[in-house]
Amino acid sequence: MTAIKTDGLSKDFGDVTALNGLDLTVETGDVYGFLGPNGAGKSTTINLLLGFLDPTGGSATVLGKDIVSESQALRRRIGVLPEAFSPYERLTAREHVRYAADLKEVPVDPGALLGRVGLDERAWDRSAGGFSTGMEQRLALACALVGDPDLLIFDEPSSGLDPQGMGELRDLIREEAADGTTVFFSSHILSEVEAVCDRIGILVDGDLVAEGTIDELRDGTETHSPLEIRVDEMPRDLDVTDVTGVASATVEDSTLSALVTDAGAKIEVIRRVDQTAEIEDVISEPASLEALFDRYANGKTSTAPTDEGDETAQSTQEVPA
Amino acid sequence: MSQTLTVARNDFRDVRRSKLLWGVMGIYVAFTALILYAEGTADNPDLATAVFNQFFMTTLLLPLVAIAGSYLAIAGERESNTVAFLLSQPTSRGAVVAGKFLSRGLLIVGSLLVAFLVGGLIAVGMYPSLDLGVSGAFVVLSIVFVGAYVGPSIAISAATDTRSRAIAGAAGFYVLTDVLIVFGDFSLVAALQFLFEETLGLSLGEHFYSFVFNLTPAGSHLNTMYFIFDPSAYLQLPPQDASQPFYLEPWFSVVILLAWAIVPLAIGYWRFRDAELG
Repeated sequence: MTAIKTDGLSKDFGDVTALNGLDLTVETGDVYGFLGPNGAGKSTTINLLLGFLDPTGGSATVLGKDIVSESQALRRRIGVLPEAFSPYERLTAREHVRYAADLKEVPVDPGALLGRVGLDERAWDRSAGGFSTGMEQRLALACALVGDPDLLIFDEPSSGLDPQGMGELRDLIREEAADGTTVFFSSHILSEVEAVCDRIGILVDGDLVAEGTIDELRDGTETHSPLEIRVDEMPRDLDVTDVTGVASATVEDSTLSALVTDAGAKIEVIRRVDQTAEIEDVISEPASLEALFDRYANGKTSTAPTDEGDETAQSTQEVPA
Repeated sequence: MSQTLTVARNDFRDVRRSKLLWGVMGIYVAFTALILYAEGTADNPDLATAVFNQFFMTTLLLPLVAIAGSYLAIAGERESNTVAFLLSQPTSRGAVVAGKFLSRGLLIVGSLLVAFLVGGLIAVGMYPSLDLGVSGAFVVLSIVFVGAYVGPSIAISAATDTRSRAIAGAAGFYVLTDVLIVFGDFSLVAALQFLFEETLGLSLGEHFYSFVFNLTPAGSHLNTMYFIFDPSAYLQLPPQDASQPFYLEPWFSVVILLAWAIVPLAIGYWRFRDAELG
């Protein structure tokens, strides 16, 4: 069975087309990364699936239920981390989780869920009004997990999380996926999607411009990912260009900069350098998909690609989400 | 139904911790105490007279308390986006509107009862009798009046998406249906009469204007005073016309007040049901 299926799903806000005939299929059990710059239509898509917005055209089902006529029934079986989650200022973390469970009419152990998302136990009985963004996000995650849903829909789940929190989020997504739960999450950060997703779809300006497994997408493009190695003292005769998968290499002072077309080549380059010099630092950038992402994003639109983590970088394509 | 109660329970839990709201309600409690105390210091304190004054004060002040306690119920959730949490669950929008009406209604009625408890204690200490026939009827009529303002306030809140629109709508509703109704010569009814009779030369009869007055929640509330007070003993109450039609009778005012509690709520639900969020 398919977890999410959209068929020509469209949404206009006045003259602005936020989503342009989206055809998307997410199979049960997949971890699906919904990738795109801010304002691409990711939140619009999710808000349509949740019944917050009415589609202008097309249709969609979630867990086999129509998003318009069976919205309430479908929300019973999913867990949602909404965009810009905001808690009730005067309810405690525990009360939020219980509230979600009461609305879903399922039993719940709030402590177990709050512990699982890593919210400090001292905060469980405190009003959420004083929570930091990261704590709010963890609370939202706990609420999403109430009732062990078949499908998790996360809208930008990493926003507000620190690197440790992001690592925990990835672990949580992997655990849920191992349990058979389908996970659909949106992000504008490539590394996050690359790390956990079985499939990704790239949305730009309301159009799905690419879809497939990460390998499929990577194969479709020639990518050069940068690798920098800083050494104690640069050997005079260092040359790594003969390593398979290395496109180019330059040496400047004590730093070797290489561009590789195959991620496996990075290790080989590091080994080669390690034989003749003392390595002080290795910087490897996850640029493979980024190059891909940029290519799609730029191929579609003339505006600059969005900086990672920079919410304000785009402006012209912003639609009410 | 259980969802309505879930929403009501959690909303009540949230809002009862709001200090601002307690402040607003404290004002009503303070006025109640003041009026009862003032009459209580008279040589021969009469509880009915105190309740008579209290009735006017309630017509003006209780709607403010009801509005302050309700106008953000749904619009506030949309402005702060807690509504995303609420509607990500399998929550029906009908349960949201009904649950909010229930919790805010209970909240205002609760503070009303606190005021009456304080008033009752003063009455026991200062007045010869509690006069339950008068004070009991007043309590019941006040609770009905609460519904007639909480309903529209929740409805306005359901139909608006920001705090500022909700407050503009609720304030406009209060001025139009209360302030501009209760002060006789400066009321909308007087303006209407001036327009029809002086300007257009239409003679619509006294009953028509009384009915317009009676259609508003504040007007209806004042009309229910005839349940308790005899116009011959209270000069401020205009005598009732013995042949007046049913729609000017006090019991019909109760029907109108109940309609004010329910009908706007249905419209508010209809607007909220079709509203796009986010």
